[in-house]
Amino acid sequence: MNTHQNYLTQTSWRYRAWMIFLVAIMVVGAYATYLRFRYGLGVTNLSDAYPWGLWIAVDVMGGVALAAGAFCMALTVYLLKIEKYKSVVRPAILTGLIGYLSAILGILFDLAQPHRIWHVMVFWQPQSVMFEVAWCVMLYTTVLILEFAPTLLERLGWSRIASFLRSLTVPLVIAGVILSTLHQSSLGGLLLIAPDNVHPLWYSPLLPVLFLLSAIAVAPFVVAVESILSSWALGRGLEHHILQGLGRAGAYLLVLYGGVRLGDLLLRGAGTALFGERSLFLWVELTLMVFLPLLLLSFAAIRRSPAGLLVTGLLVASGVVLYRYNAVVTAKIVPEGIAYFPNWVEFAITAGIVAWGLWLYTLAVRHLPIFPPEAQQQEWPAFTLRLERRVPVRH
Amino acid sequence: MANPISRRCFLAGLVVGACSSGRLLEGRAAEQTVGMLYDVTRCIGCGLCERACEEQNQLPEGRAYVDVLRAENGRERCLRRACMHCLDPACVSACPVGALQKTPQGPVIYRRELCIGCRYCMVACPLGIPRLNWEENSPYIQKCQMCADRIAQGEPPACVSACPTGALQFGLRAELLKCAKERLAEEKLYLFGEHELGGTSVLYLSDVPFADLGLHCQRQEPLPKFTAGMLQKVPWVVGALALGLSGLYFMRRRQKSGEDEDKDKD
Ligand code: SF4
Ligand code: SF4
Repeated sequence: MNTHQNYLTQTSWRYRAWMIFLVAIMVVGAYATYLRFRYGLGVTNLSDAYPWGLWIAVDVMGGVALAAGAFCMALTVYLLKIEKYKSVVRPAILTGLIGYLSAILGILFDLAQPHRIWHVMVFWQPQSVMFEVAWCVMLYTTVLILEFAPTLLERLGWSRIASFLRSLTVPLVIAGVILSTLHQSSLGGLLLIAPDNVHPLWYSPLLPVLFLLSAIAVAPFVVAVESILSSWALGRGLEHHILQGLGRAGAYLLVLYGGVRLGDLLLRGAGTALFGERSLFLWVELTLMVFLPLLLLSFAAIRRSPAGLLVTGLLVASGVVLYRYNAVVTAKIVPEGIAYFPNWVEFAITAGIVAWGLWLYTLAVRHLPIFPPEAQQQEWPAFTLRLERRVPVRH
Repeated sequence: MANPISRRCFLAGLVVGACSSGRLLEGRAAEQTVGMLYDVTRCIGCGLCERACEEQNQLPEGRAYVDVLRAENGRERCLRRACMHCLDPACVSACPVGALQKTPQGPVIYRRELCIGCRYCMVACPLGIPRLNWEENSPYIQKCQMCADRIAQGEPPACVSACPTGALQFGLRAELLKCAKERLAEEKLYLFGEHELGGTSVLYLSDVPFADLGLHCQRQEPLPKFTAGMLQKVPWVVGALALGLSGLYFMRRRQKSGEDEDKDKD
């Protein structure tokens, strides 16, 4: 049944070093966690002027944005029936699930009363965007668990439940797309309530649309990056037609997002602010996420090389995370003389959560049939990263 | 130096304040809610309201829900800074669990036993009023609640009782507004809270523009409507996507099976 595992059963030194590295980061994060819960939120640099900081911007909003691959790929394969992407659905759903679990973890660190998180289920206040956000997190995480469960259950030999869940795939995918649309957009919608406290370079009535579009645009890149990295780690061949398709789709989506974003800035009359105060952050954000990736993708040699796609994908991903950080932190209008930059405790916890996510991902890829083994196409020119390719057993 | 008008208003405020018990107010229309009138021209910056607030709410020193920004740096006026008890408050609409509530009497109260500590209220309040006691292990939102329990007993808020100059008055908002307008007609004064943020239960009167005192908010409309539009669309988005996506699925499935048949024929 599990031909998938064959090429990762040996423990290489690379694998060990990688896991030790992740655990080391988690150990530092654990110490920061102790400080956070022993002494409270006072150990962070958060303040009354900056009630939200690194955790909300990066762990929660960034994590959710980077999880968008799950619903985008499920939509593409199960609803649009573009079946050539079938082999990347599972990794995308795994990433989505881990992204959401990390976001929930981030929320638990950030809440002042984390033990009351269940209150949102009982004390309803549907006028609140945060209420919508909370329900979307809960429901979509459930959907992701159900979508991912068959992979795990089959491994455990519970194939009857697994095949029952598989029969629910289409309704689950539809629910997932609806919930993701609501969730991605409502994260931007959170800021709508504060038109006077969010700088006009980031405040826009279109915030929900922009958050949604930027998450969709990053989706194919995240999927491409994880395909490339895991093929390197697993010694697996690369499906070049899939990667090229992802790159092309990503480019169109970036053009769409960039167009709406710039159009919105100009039409709203934020034009004067484009070169004023704080605009440097906007330009760095747009360069990382839109301009530079599009420039890179315009060269066929980069577009066609996994290393080129990898770099482009990482740029887009960091750009979308910076967008979230800018919207939450950089854009915040505060009384004069007050500033915020996360301190080491906040960074250590964020790094710990990321490391935990990568650790889970690695374990899942190692022990579960996430990537199909029979990726034959290896016509990629010059894939410099694939240093020690092991030939898949079934060939 | 008090002119007769303001003296009358002051007295009216006290009288109304004394008789506005919670029971009397119940079920009254929105414009009949209680409020406070703060008169910058009378505030001497003594800080007795801060002390009274600390005592009433059992807060550590310097942690009152009201700050009097004292006259300094060439400014010749003090400004009270505390919750304005908006008529349609951003913080209330933002709170996901309903820990912040606008009572029918007027105060915006905080039920800490519900609060999850997400701090969205702090993000939402246009004036940056809700604060957190960050140094606590288990911190809560800190915010003026207009001494809602005192009001329910028929007493004015502690700060109003403590104010030695009558710069703070308590009463029905409609009456306080009327007094303020009468004074506006007499002198060149500025009024905050009639329309700002859709109206606030606490009204400010000043003889210098509020922006000069550091109160820059000019927005006239209530903030909750900025998110209401998006939230109202949610059911439609859900419906449209559910229909559209299922339609898409069945359409693509038919197309696919058609293609497969074609292939079989070939
Ligand atoms: S001033 Fe701020 S805290 Fe007070 S009611 Fe209005 S929004 Fe809420
Ligand atoms: S911090 Fe508490 S009061 Fe403020 S919005 Fe969150 S749950 Fe409501």
